[in-house]
Amino acid sequence: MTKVEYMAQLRSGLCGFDKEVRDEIISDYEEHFDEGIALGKSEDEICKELGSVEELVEELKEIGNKKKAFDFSSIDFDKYTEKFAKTLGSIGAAVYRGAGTVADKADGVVQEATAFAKMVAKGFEESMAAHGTKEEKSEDGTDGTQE
Amino acid sequence: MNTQFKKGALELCVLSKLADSDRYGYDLTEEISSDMTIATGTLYLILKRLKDEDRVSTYLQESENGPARKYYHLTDSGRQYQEELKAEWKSFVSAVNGIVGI
Repeated sequence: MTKVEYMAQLRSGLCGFDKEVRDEIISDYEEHFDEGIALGKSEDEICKELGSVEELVEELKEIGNKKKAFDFSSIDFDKYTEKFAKTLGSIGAAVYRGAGTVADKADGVVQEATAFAKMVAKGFEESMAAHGTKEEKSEDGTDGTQE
Repeated sequence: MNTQFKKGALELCVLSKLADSDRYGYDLTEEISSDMTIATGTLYLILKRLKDEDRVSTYLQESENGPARKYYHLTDSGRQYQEELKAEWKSFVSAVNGIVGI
């Protein structure tokens, strides 16, 4: 394979990743080719040494997925604790005052619980958007290069 | 060579080479992939990740006949991390050797 063909494959494979990531990898590979060619290596040999673009993209995806861990430290749990307490009170009231059958009372409970769940979900989403996510490390301290 | 063994050790190998001296990409990756069969692309990903984690920093340096080369340098945090990994590797290998009977 020629350098031009390989780099085209690489650019295509990197579509969809952050510009910063794409630019850096492409730049590293360009430099690697330049060095190898200057030392008399064939483009084909360099392509083989660099390895499969498909596998590189798979590895990048794995790293990317690891990075999407939610950053719980960004959540204001006090806010939810207070609301949860109030929701429990509302649920209690809904059951106590609820009209009619147990099923009707259950509806009241479901309504309150659903409202609470929606509030939490919205809060988490806003938190993620505002604070971003942090890189997650697996238990043994590595972050994806071990299986 | 077994892929699983390699993947775990590569980061330590990269860090250890840099602990000796700053290296540029081609030189470093060639040396490691001559010692063990590994796709050079994987090494660049490791280097990038180490840089994102501030274990490694980079700088450009002109070479005599060609364009500037990107050099990798082990930061203080990287140096500490290398020592931790090396110690972990040592005890891991020793434990496995004990079990396997080497």
